[in-house]
Amino acid sequence: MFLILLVPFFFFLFFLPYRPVSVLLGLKRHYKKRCQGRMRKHVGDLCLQAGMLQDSLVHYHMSVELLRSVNDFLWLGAALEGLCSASVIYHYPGGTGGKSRALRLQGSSLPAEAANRHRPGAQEVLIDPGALTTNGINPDTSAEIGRAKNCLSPEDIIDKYKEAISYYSKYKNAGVIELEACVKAVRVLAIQKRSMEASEFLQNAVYINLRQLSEEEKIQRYSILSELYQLIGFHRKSAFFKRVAAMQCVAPSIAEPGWRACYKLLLETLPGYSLSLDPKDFNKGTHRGWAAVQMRLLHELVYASRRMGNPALSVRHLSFLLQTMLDFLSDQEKKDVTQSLENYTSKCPGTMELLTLPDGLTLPPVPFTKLPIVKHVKLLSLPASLRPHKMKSLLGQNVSAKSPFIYSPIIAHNRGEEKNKKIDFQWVQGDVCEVQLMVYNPMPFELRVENMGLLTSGVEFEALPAALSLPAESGLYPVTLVGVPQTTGTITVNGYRTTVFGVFSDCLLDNLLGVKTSGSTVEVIPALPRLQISTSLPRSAHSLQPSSGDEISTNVSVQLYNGETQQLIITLENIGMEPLETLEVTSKILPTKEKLYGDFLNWKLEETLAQFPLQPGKVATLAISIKAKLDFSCQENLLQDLSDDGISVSGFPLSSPFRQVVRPRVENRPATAPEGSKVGDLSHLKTLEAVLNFKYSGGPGHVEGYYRNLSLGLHVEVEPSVFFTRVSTLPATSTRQCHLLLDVFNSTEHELTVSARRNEELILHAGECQRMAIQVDKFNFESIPESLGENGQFANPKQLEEERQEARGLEINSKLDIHWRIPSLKRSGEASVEGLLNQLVLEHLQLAPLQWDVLVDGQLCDCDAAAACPVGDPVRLEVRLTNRSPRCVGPFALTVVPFQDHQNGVRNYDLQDTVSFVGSSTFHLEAVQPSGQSACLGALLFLYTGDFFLHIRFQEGSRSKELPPSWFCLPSVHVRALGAQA
Amino acid sequence: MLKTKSGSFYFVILGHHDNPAFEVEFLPAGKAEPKDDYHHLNQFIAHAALDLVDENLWLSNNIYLKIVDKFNEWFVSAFVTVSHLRFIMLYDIRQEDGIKNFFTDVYDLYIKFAVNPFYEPNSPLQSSAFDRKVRFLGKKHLLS
Repeated sequence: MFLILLVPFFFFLFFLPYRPVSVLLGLKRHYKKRCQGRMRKHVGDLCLQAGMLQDSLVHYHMSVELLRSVNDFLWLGAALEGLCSASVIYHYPGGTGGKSRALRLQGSSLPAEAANRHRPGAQEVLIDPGALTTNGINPDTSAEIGRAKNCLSPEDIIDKYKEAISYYSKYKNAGVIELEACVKAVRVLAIQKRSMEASEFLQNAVYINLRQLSEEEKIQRYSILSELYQLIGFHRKSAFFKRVAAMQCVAPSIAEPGWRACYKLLLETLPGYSLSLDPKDFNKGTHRGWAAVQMRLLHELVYASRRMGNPALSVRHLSFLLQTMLDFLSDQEKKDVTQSLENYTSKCPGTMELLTLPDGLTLPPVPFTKLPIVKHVKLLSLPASLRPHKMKSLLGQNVSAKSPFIYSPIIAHNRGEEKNKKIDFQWVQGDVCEVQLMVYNPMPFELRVENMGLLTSGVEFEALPAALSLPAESGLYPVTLVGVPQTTGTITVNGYRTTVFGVFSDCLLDNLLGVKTSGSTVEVIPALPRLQISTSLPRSAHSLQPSSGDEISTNVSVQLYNGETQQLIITLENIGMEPLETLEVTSKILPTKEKLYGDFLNWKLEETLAQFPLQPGKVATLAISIKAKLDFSCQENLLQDLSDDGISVSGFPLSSPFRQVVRPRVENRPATAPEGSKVGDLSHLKTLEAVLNFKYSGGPGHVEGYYRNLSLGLHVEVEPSVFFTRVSTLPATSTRQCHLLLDVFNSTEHELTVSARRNEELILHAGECQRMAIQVDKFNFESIPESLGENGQFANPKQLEEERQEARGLEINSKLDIHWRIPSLKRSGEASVEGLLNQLVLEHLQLAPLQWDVLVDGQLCDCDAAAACPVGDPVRLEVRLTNRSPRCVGPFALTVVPFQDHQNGVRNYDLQDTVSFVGSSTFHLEAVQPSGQSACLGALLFLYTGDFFLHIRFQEGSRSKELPPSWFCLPSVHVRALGAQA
Repeated sequence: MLKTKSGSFYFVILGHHDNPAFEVEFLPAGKAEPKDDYHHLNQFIAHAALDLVDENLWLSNNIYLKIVDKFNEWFVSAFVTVSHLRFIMLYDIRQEDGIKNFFTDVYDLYIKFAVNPFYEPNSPLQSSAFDRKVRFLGKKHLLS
């Protein structure tokens, strides 16, 4: 308002001495009107200054009338402007512009007037308008006082301003007032919210030609233009002119460029270009504004701040440019910007501190979250061997803590916990913990990142910074940042720290855009010892199947022949800082389709534990014996051989007198070609895999109930040693014994010896198959199933039967005690027949429940040895039956048939003259209760010397048909009748 | 006769966040490539004119807004599409009809490209075919 009020007056004073020459003189009337018009205008000004608004309006109106008629354009313009000013005061008593602006603009030119401007109570100090009549002014003006109709309507104000400006524009020298009028009109329009029209005025104002403006005035002019555009809401226009003003400050024509002013003005332009200096604003969605323009501005800011002598500001702006405009920089620009950034930072490194400008503006730090770009942050659990496990307490801690119920279908969701993003593994105090970042270098050149470390909170953490060099435009590149937690508690990984191009950045994960994180909070538990295992066996590249579940830290492998046993020495070293207090070893044999006999792994922990607690750096050892004992049968061949062999076990008469004929024999069977092909099938390797778990603990972690688990993978390749291609039985001479015939096949490439029961040694060449016969006592299996029955009470019959058979096999095997040895390799092992004993063989190996004993002369006759008896004397013959079966058997009638064997296939049964019975040749046995015993006695009289055999036969019908024939297997009796000793 | 003297043109398509989607310059034959500052000036002027474009938009029934702004020797004409994309043309010699035709043809062209489901509205137009065609239209309507 001050401006509006004073400029016409000022103008009046200023232009009075320079009367326009175009004014026509000569016409007195004309001259008078002009004088009157000007006078009225002047009076109007004075009235306005005096606060007599209505009066001034009247005077201005009259002045306009008078001046219009005489074409006194300059004064007419001034009068119109006065009219506008008065109307504006009337319409907008609050003023039109920014108060401070008006003060600043006019304060310099007319400071004295400042006190008078805008007095609310101006009406009271009225100068009576009537007093002016003496000056020849029409007194009727007083009648107009108080009439608001003289006042212009808001639309008229603008029209009159337009008119005034058009009059001013007729004069070259009137540029200043024309500009002023424009400015005033714009302010009015701004109030009226007519920005389009305002912009027209401003557009015009830009082109008003002002002569000989000083540089400062030029700057001021652009600044004001900018301010006015701001006023009408044209922020982009405003920013444009502000930038022009800023450029004007450092124009080449100025001797002392005002870089500080330029910088300040440039900062003010930023909002107009949708640019803020907080990098966080650029994380929100799409980029706003014209990147090329913004970059130009930032470059200008950098340059201006450098010229100002504030390198920290330059670094900050340049960092900001690189960080926020990275997507818009061309490859060359990226290079240039980083080059200059490095130049700046060599003198003044970029920091993470807030920069405060003298005028109070603060520049937030610019962390380089895009150099490199981090895509994924993942806290890594410790390696499997170092991962702590919580000892299971009897009462599940989680359950008891969350709910009073043992089971509830409603899962107690804890929102806070979810939000916490806590990860379900633990880190251990004092152990190196890792965080994996997937980083990407967006630069077209190699990016060197120095001092890359973790930012954490919650736990004292020693971050071990890493330096990395990322190749140009690298793909996702894994980077592992490490650190050691020094205390226990809950640690949160907040972000990471880098130094790139000399700029230190603290990048917080919360501020990163598009970062995938699977949680950033993890618990740190107290320190635990560390165990290192080394073994006597070579390490193996062969890893166990992933399905095993456990993560294996070390794998060892060994090759064994089937049945071989080897010692594995494990060296345990405590490489941590805490004493190793407890150790627990368990093994798990991975499921395999091979059937494993005997204990695969065996160890004694007591000796090792005696050395505990193991102090840091100390070593203990543990011996584990590995016994690989797989099936020694080759079942396909077995079946085949049995069927095409003449000797059918099932059809063999067990009490046959031919038993002596079929001697246990060694059958040489050279490895023929078809046999060889079979060998190929058999010799394939079989693998056994097992995991040894070492659970150990100690130190403060042990107190807290944590332990560590180290797993050792054991990979055993089992090469076949010997095979039993066929098994069969032959009755021995004694009913209590039998011969087990085994066809042994050497599938190794070495000479091999096989021994059974530590005596008979059989030499087998590579690929050779031989039959070996082992005489074995028959087994009484009855005692075993009973003991098993207790365990297998609820098992199904099939399983029970299997178990029973297994137990039998075990017993048989322990009796047989078959060993093999490869002398050339100095390796030896066991062989087992467990897998190849079928039901039939077993049956033959079993003692019959009815035990028959034949005693000749009180001596038990069971084997080949002949009982000697004198001729002529009666020989006592006793047949004894012991019933071990669970049922009552008998009665039986037995007939003794003596005969002589001529060893040529002829048997002589016609011995009535040679052998005589004392009494009956038929015996009768009473019924025998279970576990009962019965005996019958008779006597024989040999009349001649010779070898006799007694065949004890059941009489027709006396044998119970329902009992198996093998139960009636009586021993044959060989009697040698000798001449009476003289 | 005067037609032989043709001026230079700077054409830009601006998205909703004042972000340029496409920029092209047409210079009369024989005129040397101006220096770097010149490009920036064009961009600054075009950016400043946006205020006027946005205001004029409400005052006109046409989508072609004619001259909305001028700075020094530069005139700024604008054309606002239905999706509120702003075509801005900076030029130093008045050539209303040519510019109007140019805008209309570019709009046609733009629509064809915008219906491409792979084009995300507001993002920079990087199609070389589009660029080629716009240059052709420029030659046809502006530089002839």
